[in-house]
Amino acid sequence: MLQQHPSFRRWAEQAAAHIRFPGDRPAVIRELTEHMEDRCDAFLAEGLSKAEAEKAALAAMGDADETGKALALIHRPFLGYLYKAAKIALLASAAMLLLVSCARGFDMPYSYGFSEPYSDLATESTATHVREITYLSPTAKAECGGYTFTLPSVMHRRFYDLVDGTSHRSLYFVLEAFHPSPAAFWPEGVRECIYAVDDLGNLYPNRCFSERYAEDEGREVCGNGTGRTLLRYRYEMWVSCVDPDAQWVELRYERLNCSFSLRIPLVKDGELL
Amino acid sequence: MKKLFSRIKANPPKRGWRIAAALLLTAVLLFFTCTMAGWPALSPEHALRRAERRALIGMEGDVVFETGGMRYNMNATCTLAVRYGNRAAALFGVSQDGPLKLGWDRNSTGSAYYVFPQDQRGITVAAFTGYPRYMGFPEEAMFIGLFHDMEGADSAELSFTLTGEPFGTDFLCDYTLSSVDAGDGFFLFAFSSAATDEDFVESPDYHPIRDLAGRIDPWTYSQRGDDIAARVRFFDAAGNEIGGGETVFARALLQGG
Repeated sequence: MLQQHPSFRRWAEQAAAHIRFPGDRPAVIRELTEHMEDRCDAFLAEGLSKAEAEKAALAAMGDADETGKALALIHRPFLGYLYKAAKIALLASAAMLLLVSCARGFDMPYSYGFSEPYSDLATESTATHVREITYLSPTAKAECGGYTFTLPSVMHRRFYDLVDGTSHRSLYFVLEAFHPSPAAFWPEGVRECIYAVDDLGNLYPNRCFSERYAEDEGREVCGNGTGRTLLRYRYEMWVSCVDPDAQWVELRYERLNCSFSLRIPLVKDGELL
Repeated sequence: MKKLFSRIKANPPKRGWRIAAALLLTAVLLFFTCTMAGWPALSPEHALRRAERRALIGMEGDVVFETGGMRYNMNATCTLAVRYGNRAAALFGVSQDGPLKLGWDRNSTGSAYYVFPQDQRGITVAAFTGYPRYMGFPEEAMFIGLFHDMEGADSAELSFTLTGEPFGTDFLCDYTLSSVDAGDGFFLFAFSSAATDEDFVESPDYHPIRDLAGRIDPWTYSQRGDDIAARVRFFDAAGNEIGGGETVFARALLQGG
């Protein structure tokens, strides 16, 4: 049908030339041409000849430029340009992902997920050693530097050596840091500077500083990072040589305008662990 | 005409949905791109701010000095000297190690960040392994930073003595260094051996340099013995001595990266 009336197409193209967004012009040309075809068919049905019907249809449309200018007034090019820009951005981001992935050899930048805590610790009693294990769930929570710190898992262990009669008390805990930005990464200051105190006034310095500050050899806080997800980071840490009579241990961090503390009660059902 | 115009209409809802879908997909792809790239920082200072947040330092430091022009593994590296008021100072080395050189300090593994307490006498001397870590790559130079409050100082001289007995090898070495660069209240000294890379291990500077690197590391300095004394002299633009003092090499409070 379109090819039978090239004059319709020429008129439509002249009118559509006024549309500011070139991407929309084909659709406008198609709509105008179909409208003229319909008008032409109506004139043919009234008994006009083909040439007369075509001429009458063109006359009914009026001036192409005037019509085009009127169409341009109601047409909104902004969405057209926005759609084009969105497609370009999509292609560019896909290309960037491919390039970066190739540059990295398609390896993920870090391992993802948390492992089972305390998997390397001995928890069973033997003929010569007795280990009393208690799992705690402290509700302590602290915020510092944009991170939120919690203790999702704490294990208290009393160790008795039946051979030499010595005993030790230790705390093993998972310190979790949450940050709403995936670009935050590990809060490394915690591992190096966190220390602990108990209700009896004993200090458990970070291993970094233990030789300088520890009054009792062996008392320290230390640990390692053990896993991360998109927004969470975990350390498995320990407080060693906890005082046998301590009723709580408080983890503390204090550095340059930033400080927090997390208390771990060592009493369960009213009894000292 | 109205009927004509009513037929010739763009389809805003359809196009709008397509625009929204394209933008959403773009955001998702960019997120995965950044994750694969290790979320590198956009500039050395941006990387510094991240290091400060990771170190849980609750304040932003003032960058008093920045040096670049160095390369490691084809990546540009940069060292920043930072002051936190009169409480602390830091030296931060960072590498432009993002994939396709896009960004700095990807995965937070491309930097070294040491924070030192400031000496209340107004002179703080801090050694720095730079980036990459000196201990692993002895052919790289160490830096020594001098943070000061001496007005009118155009250059400085730093003197110190290193002694030790690592692995049964005694050493006692005197060093006098002249500043190689300066910033606002800051002087930079380069500390390296005159020996070539191949001869460094056998040179008399090997143990002193490694010993100094060990002393600034908060994980090892407690095993290294006494503090290292340092003497500083300041000079004006004409070369006249205008002041100075005695201090000790600061020990790092924090180490990151």
